[in-house]
Amino acid sequence: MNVLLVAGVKGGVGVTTVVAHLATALSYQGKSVVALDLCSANQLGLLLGLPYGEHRGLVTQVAIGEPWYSACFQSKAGVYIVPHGYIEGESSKSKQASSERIYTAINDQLDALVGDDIESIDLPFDSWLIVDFSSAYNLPLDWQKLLCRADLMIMVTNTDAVSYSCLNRTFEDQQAIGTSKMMCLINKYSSSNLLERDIYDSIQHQFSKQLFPVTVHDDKNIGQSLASKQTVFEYAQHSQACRDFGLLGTWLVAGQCENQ
Amino acid sequence: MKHRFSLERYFDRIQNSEDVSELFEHLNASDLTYNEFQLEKACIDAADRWALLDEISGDRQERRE
Repeated sequence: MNVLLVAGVKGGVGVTTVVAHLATALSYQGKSVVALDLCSANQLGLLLGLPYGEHRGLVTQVAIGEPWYSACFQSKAGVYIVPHGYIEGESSKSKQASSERIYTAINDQLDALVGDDIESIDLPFDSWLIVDFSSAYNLPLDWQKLLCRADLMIMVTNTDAVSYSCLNRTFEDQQAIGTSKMMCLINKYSSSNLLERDIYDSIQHQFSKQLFPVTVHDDKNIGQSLASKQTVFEYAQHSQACRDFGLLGTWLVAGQCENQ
Repeated sequence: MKHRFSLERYFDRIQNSEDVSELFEHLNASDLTYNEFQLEKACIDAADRWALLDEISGDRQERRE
């Protein structure tokens, strides 16, 4: 089981989009993939085709004492999705209190989340678990424990000034916590303006050893595909974004083969 | 096989020889390939253009020393 955590240097860099498309790319390459949403915005299921009104997910199952994977759906491309979910009808005050209870329960299940329970779902040994960690830094989760169980943490960034500043801070923290499993993925890159090109060069120069050799380019098809409730693989299969995510999936699979 | 950087090859592409000499010395450019030198120079130029990039680069330099 390959475990990937995907987080962003800040909000809005496209973590959920990356998770949805990477999961789909791997699935199209014949891999079994579980996409787990730890982000309370609960958008991963939507990007993978779940109905807007679907509220079941990780938090609803944990709240009723069921295993986290019991709210598992499957996308058209065959990705197993465990949405974050939300509890219907809660006020924001009681939502906060129940969130704290739920994340205490999730922490208790953390080992199972990325370890033994995955084996019990009966997936092939070369399956992939991709975790949408978007805003998980703000959650009371023992994310350092998750990091220890992960094979790789993908840190998504854009090529704007604020993201670049956050990226530098993130990798300083990485040195502070001593993990070498973090790699940087540039998302939504557009070479049409000088600042983005300069920041792109600076990231390449500074993080060359920890930078994915694949860059995901800015592509309007991504927004349009979401509005059509599809991924770019279905919506615009000849698009730049489709090629980029396909290549990213291929690179990861090739790395998996090398490590075996 | 990497080509090691040659100042003479780059000389034709720039106008101010003083700039290049200073850059060459600063980067210890003879240890770099031409592509690496281009990236180094691009990053120095970028820091000159944008105050934030200059600050981050300077902060990194200070922490190394």
